[in-house]
Amino acid sequence: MTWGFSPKTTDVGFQPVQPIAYSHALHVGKLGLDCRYCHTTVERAAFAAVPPPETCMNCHGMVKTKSAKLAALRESWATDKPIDWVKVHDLPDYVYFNHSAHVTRGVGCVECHGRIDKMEVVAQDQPLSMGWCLDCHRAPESHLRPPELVTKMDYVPAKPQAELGAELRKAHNINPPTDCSTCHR
Amino acid sequence: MKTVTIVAKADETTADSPMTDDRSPMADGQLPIAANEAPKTDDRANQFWRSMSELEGTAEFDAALAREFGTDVGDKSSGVNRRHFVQIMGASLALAGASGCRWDKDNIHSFTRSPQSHTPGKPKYFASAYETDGVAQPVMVTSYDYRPIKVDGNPKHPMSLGASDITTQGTILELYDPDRSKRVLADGKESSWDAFKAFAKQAFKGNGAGIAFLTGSTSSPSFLAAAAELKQKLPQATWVTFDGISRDNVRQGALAAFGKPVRTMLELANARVILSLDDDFLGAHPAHVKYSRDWAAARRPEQGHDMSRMYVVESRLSNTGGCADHRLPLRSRDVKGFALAVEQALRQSGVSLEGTSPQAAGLDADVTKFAQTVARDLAAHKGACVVTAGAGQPAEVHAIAHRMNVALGNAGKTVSYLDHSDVSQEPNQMMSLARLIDSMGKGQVETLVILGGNPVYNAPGALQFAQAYAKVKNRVHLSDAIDETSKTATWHLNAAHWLETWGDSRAYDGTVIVQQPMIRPLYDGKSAIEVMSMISAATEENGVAENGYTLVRRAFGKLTGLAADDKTLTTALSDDYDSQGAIPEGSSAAADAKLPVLFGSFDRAWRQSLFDGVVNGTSFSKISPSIQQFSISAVDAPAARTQAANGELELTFYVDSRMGDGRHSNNAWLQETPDFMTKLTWDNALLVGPATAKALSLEDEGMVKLSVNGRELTVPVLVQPGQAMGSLALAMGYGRTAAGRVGGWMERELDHTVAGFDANVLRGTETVAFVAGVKVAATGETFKLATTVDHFLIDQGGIAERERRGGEIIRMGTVEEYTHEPDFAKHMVHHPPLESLFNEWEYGQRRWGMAIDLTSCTGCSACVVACTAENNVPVVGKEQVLRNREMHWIRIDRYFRGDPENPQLGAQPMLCQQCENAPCEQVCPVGATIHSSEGLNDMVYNRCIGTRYCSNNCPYKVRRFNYFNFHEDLKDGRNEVKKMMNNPEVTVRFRGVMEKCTYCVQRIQNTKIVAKNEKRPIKDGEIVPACAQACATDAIVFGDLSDPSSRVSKLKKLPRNYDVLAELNIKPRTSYLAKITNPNGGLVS
Repeated sequence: MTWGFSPKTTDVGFQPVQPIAYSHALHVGKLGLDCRYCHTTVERAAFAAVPPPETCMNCHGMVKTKSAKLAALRESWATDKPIDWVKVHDLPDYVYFNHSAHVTRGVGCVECHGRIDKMEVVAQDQPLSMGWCLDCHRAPESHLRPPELVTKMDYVPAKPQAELGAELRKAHNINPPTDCSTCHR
Repeated sequence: MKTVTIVAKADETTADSPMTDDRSPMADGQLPIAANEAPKTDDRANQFWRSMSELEGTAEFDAALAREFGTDVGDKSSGVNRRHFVQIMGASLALAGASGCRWDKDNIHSFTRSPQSHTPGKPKYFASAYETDGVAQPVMVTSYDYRPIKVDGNPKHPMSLGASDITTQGTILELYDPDRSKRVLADGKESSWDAFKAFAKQAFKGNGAGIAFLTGSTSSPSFLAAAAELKQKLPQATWVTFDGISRDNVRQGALAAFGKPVRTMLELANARVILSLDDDFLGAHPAHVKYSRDWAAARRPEQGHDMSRMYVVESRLSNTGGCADHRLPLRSRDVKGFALAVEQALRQSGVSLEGTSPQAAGLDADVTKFAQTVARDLAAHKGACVVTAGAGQPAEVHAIAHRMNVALGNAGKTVSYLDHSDVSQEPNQMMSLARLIDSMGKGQVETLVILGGNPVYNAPGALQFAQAYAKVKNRVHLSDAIDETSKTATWHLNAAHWLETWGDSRAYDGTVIVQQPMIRPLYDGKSAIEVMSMISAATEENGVAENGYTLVRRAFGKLTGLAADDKTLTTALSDDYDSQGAIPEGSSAAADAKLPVLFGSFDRAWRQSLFDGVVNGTSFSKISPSIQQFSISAVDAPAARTQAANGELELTFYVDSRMGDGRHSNNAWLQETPDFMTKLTWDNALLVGPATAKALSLEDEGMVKLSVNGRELTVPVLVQPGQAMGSLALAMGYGRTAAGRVGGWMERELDHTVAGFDANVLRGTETVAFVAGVKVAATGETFKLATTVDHFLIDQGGIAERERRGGEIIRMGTVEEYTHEPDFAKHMVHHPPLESLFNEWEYGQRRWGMAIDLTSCTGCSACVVACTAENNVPVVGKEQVLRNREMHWIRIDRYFRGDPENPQLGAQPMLCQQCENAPCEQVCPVGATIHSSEGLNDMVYNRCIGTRYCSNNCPYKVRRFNYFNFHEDLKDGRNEVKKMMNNPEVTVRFRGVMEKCTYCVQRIQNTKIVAKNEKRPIKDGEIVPACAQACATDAIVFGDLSDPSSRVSKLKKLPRNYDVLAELNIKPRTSYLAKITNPNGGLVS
């Protein structure tokens, strides 16, 4: 019963239909766009900003300008009305998560979001529950990588993770707090 | 029950007094107070008390002390009953079942075209200003995704240096007030701006005869330019300025003393001796933020030079009076006699004063002694003392103060004179208003344009503005709410809030500040300059009204001499300004040295001024005017205070720092913030001194009818220590009948009762600040006043125990005691070595802590409202305040000591002390309050189940319980706009959870993240909690205790630092620096 209500069952795999069938598999996996081309603020803000249609139009002003799949994008661009993207990774309102604090310390995007580069439609990959957060906050070594490689989807550690993680932790002075007020306030 | 109380003693005395026979005390309007009735207080000199009921040991007080949570948990009278609750719950459970276990889907909406340098979710800070009665308050607005959520002082502006006051903190609520006016009304029916323009074409033509403009004082260059243009186009039109809070006396006093308009600026940082003649310069002065800061700077006992000494002579115990080293309670009308006595004594001690002054005879011996002592101290500090007179005092008293300052060589040292001829107002506004009303009554005014202000409410009652107003054919009123004046206007024009529109004005020192809009007008409101431009355009054949942006930029050009050609003004500048002059994206770009070359010199200066919040080189120039001969009328029968024969009741009308002239009446934050002295919320009351109340047989909450000069008002009484004998006081700004659902809205919704009582009814043109000959008659009715004075008492093993240990929670000493025994505060409590039963915490890198200097705290309460704004603290309403349920995370405890007629006073901001051995943490059954590695007592709302054990166990009584879902009104459609106001960095709490001060943990966390991202340590002073940020006297200092060089660590090392209730071994992280006073030996008996 308890397990039945766990975020592991209820939330993992949440895959809402988006207003535009944007494929991360195509753009990231095949074309090799870096996460930060669109999610520009991820290294300096709490939110990883969802790109404005302006960003899409950088390319789609010239590429696939007639595609029916992009009708909603063109409409948004023309009418100045935002697109109704559905939030996939939705934390409770009493949780204050900060992307920049994690990305600049070397927690890869994949750690929480999974292999986005293989997702046609984005789905929630991890439970994003408090216990799951704390697993890493209590033992960050197994999830650290060199900060410059955070967006690398197919990253493989150059040496055993335990050894590398301990080195990185020391080098970057990483002491993830487990205080309540770290996330709740 | 205590037996030795002052009142008991007074009883004994009065039993023998010939003045207290059965004769009705008020039958002849005289006040029977025997001279020998003044209580002796020797044995009580060290006893602290908070309210009269505590001092008298009433049953109510004991009950309040025994029951922390007040009355039983009941429903709000208009709340949800249990059955209804179950029905609602049933419905929502069914909904929950249908929608599965995941909460509602959220959408993400991005900009389609992202503004330059915008980072979603990162606040930006904009410099701006708002103007009150002709003086700009420099501010810095926090904007969250282009939504202003908080207003603070501008750290770069010399008149603020980052500090602010209670109304600045509260103004954000007024922007999002759902009761704001949303449209133009013509004869009460919905209309439009175009319709008004069409009307203006008809109404404003010819030479302006029969047209009158009524405005508040202003220093705005664009406003003055627009007015000048209108005066040119409508030369016969009448212009009158009127402020609800009159400063006529200040202007006329300067005119009398110097022969020209001069603005006085006190330089309190240089003053060693201060004499305030009924001047609440720390609480109710246009420059009180700067004054408070400067005053506190000269009152730090550790600075190596002598602390300043302050004498205050006043009728009502004001914040300034509370900070005085010596305070003389004196009726306002007797202050002039006192001032003359000081002059006389100065002359005797060889100070050469210009002119002559009438003799001040007949003063009581103690008053004369006080005057002579003050004079000696002033004469001994030539060039380092200052005399200041309050705005309520007649012009003569101001002239006397100026004369003394010049004679004492203070000019240019402790007081500067500024040439404000650019913006100086009509010296006698009241007279010109009276003239206007006269011609309105005679039907000579056909069109009256009122730009801001609410004269129907706040013009003195004697003028009968409303009656004359009704005789004007076209009544045009620009206002942000449908107030008393709008209700009877033929044209109500909805004004834009200052956060919505371009504008400019001058700070007290004269520096021009451009007011930047933070958000587009929510309801298409217009500013006064835009309305004037409309009227101006209407006078021409093809006139076109201009927008605020153009008008302000033109005025800026004139001011800086940079607007060489009009082309610069009208051409669109760069991508980040639109042609409407809409919100500039982050002025931070303007400060960037790498400004793109496309900016000409004008735009470079403009952008720099916007960024800094000050236009360089615009401050008023300092001048050295010389004293003119002026005559002073004889002092009318200087009545001895304590003798009934001459005693006559006086009523003073004072400025309430929260309500102002009534404009903040609909601001629930301000209504619910307890007044520092009276601890009164949601109402004003007639303040009566204890002896006066006794003589008149008046009690708290008893209704009395006041009558003076044929005008009457019925108000409740509040017995207030420190109120001068024979003087009564009533706050202005209350009793609004068309303010809104908060302040009072008589006709629309009867369940929203009016907050307080309208003092303006009793005011006359000559008696705007105080009036003599007031009769008081009890009506026998009572009125419930929501005072918080006995709420959240710190019970220390019973009140008797506290009395025995006296002055332990708040500790005070004189500078002499401090020099003699620097750690006297620590020795006030002795306890055995403290051993904890619990394992003590070990801390890592950081230990947050706070030190509060009680010497500097003036009780202004800006911190209370700042905390409310920052932490989404709910408002609970008068009824819930009466049940001890106010939610403020920080309260300012006000303690009295000694004689209730003239008590000594201590102010102590009390907030969560973040104990190391926290009693709250040990009793929480669900781990909802938990110790953090940095020493904070974290409060986890989503875990809290509302047992309230933590609050029971908190010795400081700083935890607050949400009895109701205080934010439920947000579900009401008309309150939708209020959602925009909340700080998104702080959880909005729900019914049934505890909450308390967190040291603004959101600011701590966000700063930590930024510092670590930038791979640098946090700088000392980088994290500033909202209370410390607002504090004008820098009394609150926060920082890292593990860093010995941090400011807070250094303060805590001072010998006068002490922990409240240290003997409990709970190790509070907040400590206090004992209040040090600097009394004059000559006056200490």
